[in-house]
Amino acid sequence: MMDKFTFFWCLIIVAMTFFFIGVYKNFAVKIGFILWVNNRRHNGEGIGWRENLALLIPLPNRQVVMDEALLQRRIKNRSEFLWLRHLLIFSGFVVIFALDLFLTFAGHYAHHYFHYEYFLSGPGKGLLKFGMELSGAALFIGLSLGMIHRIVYAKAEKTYVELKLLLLLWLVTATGFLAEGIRLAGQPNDPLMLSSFIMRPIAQWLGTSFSWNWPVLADGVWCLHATFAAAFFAYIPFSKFIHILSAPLGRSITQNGEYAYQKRQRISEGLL
Amino acid sequence: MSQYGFYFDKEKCVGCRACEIACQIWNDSVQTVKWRNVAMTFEGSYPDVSNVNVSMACMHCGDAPCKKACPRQAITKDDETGRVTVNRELCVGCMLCLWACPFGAPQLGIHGRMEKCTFCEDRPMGIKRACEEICPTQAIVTGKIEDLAKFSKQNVSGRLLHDESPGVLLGHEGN
Ligand code: HEM
Ligand code: SF4
Ligand code: SF4
Repeated sequence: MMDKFTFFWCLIIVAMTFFFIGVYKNFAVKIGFILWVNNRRHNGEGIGWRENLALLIPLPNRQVVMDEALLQRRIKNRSEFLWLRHLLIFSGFVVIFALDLFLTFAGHYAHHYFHYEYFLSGPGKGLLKFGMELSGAALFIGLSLGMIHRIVYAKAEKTYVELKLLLLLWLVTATGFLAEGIRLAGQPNDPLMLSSFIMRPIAQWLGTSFSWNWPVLADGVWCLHATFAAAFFAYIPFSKFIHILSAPLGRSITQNGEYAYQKRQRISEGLL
Repeated sequence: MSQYGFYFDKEKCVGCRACEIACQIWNDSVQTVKWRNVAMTFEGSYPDVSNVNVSMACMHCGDAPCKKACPRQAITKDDETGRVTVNRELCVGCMLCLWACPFGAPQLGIHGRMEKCTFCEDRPMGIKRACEEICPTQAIVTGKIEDLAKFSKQNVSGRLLHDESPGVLLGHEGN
């Protein structure tokens, strides 16, 4: 049978192909067009390249970036609940993604190429695991709240929230936790058991209550988790998830309406 | 296909902002931010002051840059009228369309989705749009773009007899 990492890399290659085609078609080309069309408008105005660049890509101030890209305060205008749940999803996703990447490079690759163990089996791994449990929990809670709210208020929320989007990311998160729990159920003496503070009690209960073939089951759920995660990445540029890329950029640049105001002013000055 | 559009005459606009209000009242059920804005510019100091007011909303461009910029294909152009509208179910509120729009027209509504002039979607064609109807000086005129072009030429040539800067903005950017 195919080794689970071979399966994983095949998945990654397929998912990343879709991801990059989508990012090119639905994002890179769009940004290129925006720069081109704005540049065409300023051509012939006799302005220097520095001023032209500032008009094409106006640098937002720090407050705008904080409010729009990091805190997403605008969602608060709809409701504080939506804001909190989005912040849980956003921060949970960003942190778990960063830690996962760090674990891959500083853990697996550092071990493979430099025999550096701190982040793979040393105390560093415990720290990473702890952070991943915590951010995973934030993500899971945010997504669960989102799905319950969307189902209960289906009529009002249908226009704004897509259920299948939430469900896909929820499945990624849920199978991630499940994979961890089932792995630990088969390894009750794992020295890093303490770091998995959420799944530890569940794993211990599973391990003592059932006598299933945990390693085989763990591999199966791990593959399921990898499949959902790959599907999520492939789906990003073709779905509302594209806002992960486009919203922080577009919202920071257009600066809470200031950019629109400046564009209108330029037109009226041109007619003066 | 017809292309409807706006004609705006800066010589006639007095900056009363009645068009902004009429737009908000007519589109009250779907509008959460101002779709029409009057930009005002002053230059010089008394007694040598010049001023211009320009009432702007979406111009329903022929080859709409916002439509091409949208990563969600949420913006469509109607074949019958040429009006350009945003589908709120597809929009993710990223504001790339505003970055592309020459008139700063699309605005983010309180629902976090883009909103802009719909050319009074629920008003039958053939009657005046809300902004046009209210304008006390007839600075805004709407109609088929060919008719507006003729109207504009007549106005400009009439004015050239007296004035060297006719100053009209024909509302429809073709590429
Ligand atoms: C980086 C800046 C980001 C901005 C500005 C942003 C903005 C938004 C906005 C405005 C909505 C619509 C909320 C509403 O009005 O109902 C939304 C929804 C959503 N976002 Fe983000 N987002 C960002 C990053 C992320 C990230 C990293 C994720 C995680 C993968 C994410 C996941 C979601 C999900 C699942 C929804 C739909 C559920 C909901 O409405 O809460 N977002 N986002
Ligand atoms: S004026 Fe702006 S919003 Fe309206 S069609 Fe043109 S680019 Fe799009
Ligand atoms: S804000 Fe909405 S309509 Fe505008 S570019 Fe983004 S997704 Fe498209």
